Amino acid sequence: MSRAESTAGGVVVRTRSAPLAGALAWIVPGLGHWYLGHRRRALVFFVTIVATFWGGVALGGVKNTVNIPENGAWFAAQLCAGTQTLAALMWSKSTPGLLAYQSIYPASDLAVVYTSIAGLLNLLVIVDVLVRSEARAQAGGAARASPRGPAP
Amino acid sequence: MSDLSPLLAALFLEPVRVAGGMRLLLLLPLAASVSVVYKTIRCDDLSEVPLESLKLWATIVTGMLAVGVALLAGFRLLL
Repeated sequence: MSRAESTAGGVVVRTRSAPLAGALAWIVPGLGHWYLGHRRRALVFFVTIVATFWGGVALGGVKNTVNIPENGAWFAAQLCAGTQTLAALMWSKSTPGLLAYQSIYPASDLAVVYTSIAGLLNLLVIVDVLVRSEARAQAGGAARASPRGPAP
Repeated sequence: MSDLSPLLAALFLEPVRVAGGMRLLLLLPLAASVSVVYKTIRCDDLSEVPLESLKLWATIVTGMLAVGVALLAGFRLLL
């Protein structure tokens, strides 16, 4: 999956596609870091963001929490949490009429805040993965330019 | 999966009843999430993350409490 490899000076530097890393980070929190090789960091991001998101859903109920007509602006922040938001939205829409939308204060508000902050944290993670993949690309460029390999 | 469905329904469909003072406690795990993600991004060495996250978590909670107390004091003075 490497985009390019440099073997200058005997040092192999694999660069990774930044857009792909960013897309993976959106699809599953932490997957972008996993793709870049930061496995432990990826696990921390995955566990923390997924637990925050689904903890919020458990707090308010999926129907109250992921609800575009009621929480349209908040949904934009929730959407940054990736495909889990889409899964929650589908679940919310497919929930039978018996459990129709009913906002229960303050649990529903807290739930929206939890899930939205999970989304914004994942946005931070996506930006970080883009920065790290660009840094790798620059290190790869330096390796190709210098016979000694990349700068430490 | 059929055994799991009622559990999932109970967990994620029914809202939790949050009593008045208990909602303040919900700040603690949220601040922990923010601290852990932020410090995992910032720290080059992952072994530093737990301690640094704890420090940031304490700072956030103390700061939020200070803001809350200041706003309450201002509210009481004005009304």
